[in-house]
Amino acid sequence: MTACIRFDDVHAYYGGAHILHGVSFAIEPGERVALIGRNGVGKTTVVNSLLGIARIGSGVARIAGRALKNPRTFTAAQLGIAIVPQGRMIVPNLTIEENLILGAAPGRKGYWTLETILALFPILKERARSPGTALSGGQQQMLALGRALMGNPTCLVLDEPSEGLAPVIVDDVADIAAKVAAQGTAILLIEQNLSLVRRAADRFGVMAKGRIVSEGSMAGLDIAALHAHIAI
Amino acid sequence: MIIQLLNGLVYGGLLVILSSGLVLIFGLRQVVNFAHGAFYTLGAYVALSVSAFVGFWGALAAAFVALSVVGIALDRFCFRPLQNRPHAVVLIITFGLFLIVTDLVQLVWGRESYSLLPPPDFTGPVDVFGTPYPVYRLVVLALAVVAAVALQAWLRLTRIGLHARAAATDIVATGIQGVNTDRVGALVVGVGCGLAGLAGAAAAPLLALTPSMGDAIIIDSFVVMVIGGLGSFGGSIVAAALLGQIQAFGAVYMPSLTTLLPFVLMAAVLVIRPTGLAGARIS
Amino acid sequence: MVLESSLPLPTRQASDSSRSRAARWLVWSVLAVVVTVLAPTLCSARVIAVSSQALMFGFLAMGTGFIHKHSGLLSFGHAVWFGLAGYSVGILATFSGLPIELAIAIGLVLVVALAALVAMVIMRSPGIAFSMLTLAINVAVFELFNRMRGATGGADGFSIALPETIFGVPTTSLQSPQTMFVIMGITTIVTVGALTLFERSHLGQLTLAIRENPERARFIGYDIYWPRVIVFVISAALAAIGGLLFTLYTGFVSPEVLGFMTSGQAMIMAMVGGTAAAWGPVAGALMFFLVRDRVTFLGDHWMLPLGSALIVVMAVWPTGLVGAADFVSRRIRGAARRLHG
Ligand SMILES: Nc1ncnc2c1ncn2[C@@H]1O[C@H](COP(=O)(O)OP(=O)(O)O)[C@@H](O)[C@H]1O
Ligand SMILES: [Mg+2]
Repeated sequence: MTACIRFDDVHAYYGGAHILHGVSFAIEPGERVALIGRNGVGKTTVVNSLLGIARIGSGVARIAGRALKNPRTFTAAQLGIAIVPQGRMIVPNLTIEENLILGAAPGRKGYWTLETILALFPILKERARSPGTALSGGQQQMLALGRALMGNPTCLVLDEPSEGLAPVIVDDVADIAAKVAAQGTAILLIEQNLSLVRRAADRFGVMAKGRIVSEGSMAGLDIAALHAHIAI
Repeated sequence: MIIQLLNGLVYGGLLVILSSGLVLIFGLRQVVNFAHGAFYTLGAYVALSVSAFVGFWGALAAAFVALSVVGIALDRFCFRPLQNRPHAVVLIITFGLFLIVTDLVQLVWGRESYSLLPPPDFTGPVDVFGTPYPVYRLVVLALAVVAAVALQAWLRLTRIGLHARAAATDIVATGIQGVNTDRVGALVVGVGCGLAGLAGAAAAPLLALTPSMGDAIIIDSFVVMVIGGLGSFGGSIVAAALLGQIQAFGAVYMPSLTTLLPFVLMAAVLVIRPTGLAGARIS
Repeated sequence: MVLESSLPLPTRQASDSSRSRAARWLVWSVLAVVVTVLAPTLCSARVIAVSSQALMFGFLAMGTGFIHKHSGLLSFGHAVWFGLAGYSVGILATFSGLPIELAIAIGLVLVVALAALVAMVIMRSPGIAFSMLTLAINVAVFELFNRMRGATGGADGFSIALPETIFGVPTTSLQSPQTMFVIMGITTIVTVGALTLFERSHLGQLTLAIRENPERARFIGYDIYWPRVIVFVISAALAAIGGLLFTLYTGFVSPEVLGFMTSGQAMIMAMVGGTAAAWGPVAGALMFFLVRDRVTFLGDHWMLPLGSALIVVMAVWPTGLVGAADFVSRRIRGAARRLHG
């Protein structure tokens, strides 16, 4: 089976700044993988190299077996990778409903439709016509999640979804991740919140200084040792 | 009185078409297209050249299509590759393009002035509240209204319009959702430039065609765009209507000052609202 | 705290390097003065005549380049200040009966004051509107003078009544290309030096910091409005000096110098020359005029090659001649270092 996302010794740059120093990993269909690490180690840069925002200098990044050569921002989504970006990136002058419809741009049909998503997020249904930025932080995160699902992705990438959210809402995120995984969708969860990681991933990799420095499975995970890796 | 009012509406209508194109392009690429006035001129000349073969309405469509193609090329070979350069660089390049297109018009059509006849059904005057008024001017006004409504309908009611509005706000976020923002950019800039061509063709029967016919009106549409708040369709429609009336009445009552009036209006608006009528207040 | 120190405000350089920079300046200035003085005997009369005009428009280009450098803004309307200086001095000299020296002083003050008023309005709006606003103002002012009947002659312009001597210099020699070239050369050298000093001053560094990141400068507590107004006024004053000298030289003023194409050409000169150093726009102006003087076979169709050249420069080498000189000098220094090392 081809991996949804596969990095082979990827070195990535912003201009001349060398950020990723040989990152390799693969996410197989249906897998739930977490990528953890402190601020500034290059987690978002992993996502940005899929988007063409960071330049891949050497090594290969593949989506569904296809090597990315000068990807554009829309390439990943069109190949089935939906990204909930760090900071959510809700388009402010669109309504909530329009933001959701925007997520359907890749045109892939599947379980997720406007109806199923509005059923999953009642708050979005209530306020479908108000601007996306009229929502609270937690609600915006739900909107970003719903919008990503509109594309019926094979893999959902979440970049620090718990950032700035109250613990109750982090629980909601975990529930939704479970529902998404139940559809057979792979998940790449970039997180620093270990309780979310424990509930939403089966496998993890730890990043430091642009490299993946250790990997393991959730079973028999030593949380204390992990904390040492990501504590600020 | 009524004549001036109508003249103002007609001129305001042309300004609406022109500045809508500027606003479209500005929204997506954050660039003011300094070649827009030359595109207006080019549209008029294209209409002049093809009207003998396809008739006036065909010429209008041809001007729109021809300038849309120019716009698509402009986005593909200028705006998109230079996306990450300072806006000043791109602005200067569109100024260079203004020089090139103006000179090309001179090379192809020469410097003498031409005139284009309105379509045969719309040549005479019509009675407006007891005053005869050239009917073609009302056609231009209707055309402007249709163009503005069609543009808004396209932006508000279609999927591509949604993508264009999203991309105009946040092109990266829109791309991440899987919208081909390259294609949207080309389309939007194409339509924007096409509107300039359309305005030029529509205006052609109202005045003499010369290579510099776009200079005056493009200045007014810049003023409209600034007063309206740069990226706002609503703001620029209001500003265009206002400026149209000022120009029309000024031409009669203060002929020596008409050229200064737009600037006075602009200064007044900017002193009260530095970001324009529809612009957000800067704290 | 981190922000404060990363704001590029004047930092005391090692005295050694600043001394060597001062020495380099001195060498270049002396060289420039020598070239200026010798050129009239070495070059053809035509080259001298073209060059002295180029240096007058060089002031206009310097104004355009200065505002671009210190505020990041592109003016499409600086010919207004060039032309208004000519008109105000011309009108005062011809109709007021004031001595010419006083007419010049009052004329320049009037233009600068008007520029300050205009700057106070347009610097309130976001930078992106600036280019459009300056262009609109330029066209409005052009039309105003173009249509104004009576003494200023409308589109035809008018001849200025100049006395026998101006500041003790006989008007006839002021209007000869040879003398004017030397005057232009010296004033240009002095002005380039003054602008370079401005760049090193606190205000100069502050305006550069505002250009880089206005929000940050404001956050640190600097006012970002008045420094930009001042930059505009200085740039307008530069253009006005050029316009004044041009008017005295030709003894004539017409709306043509006020046209927005004049502004556009000045912007092209500044960009082709490069705005990173004060001499860039001057070099651009000299190149523009000398090339145009040679390339006569184009006839009226100069806009096509000019526009194409502008696009190529901006796309391929946006730092202009200044950037090129910097590149070459760094290469040479690098090679020299390798030879020594
Ligand atoms: N656009 C950019 N240009 C230059 N450097 C960047 C850019 N974005 C991030 N960086 C740098 O790259 C490094 C990794 O950033 P990032 O991938 O965002 O970290 P993380 O997501 O793990 O917090 C950081 O040192 C950051 O400063
Ligand atoms: Mg991050």
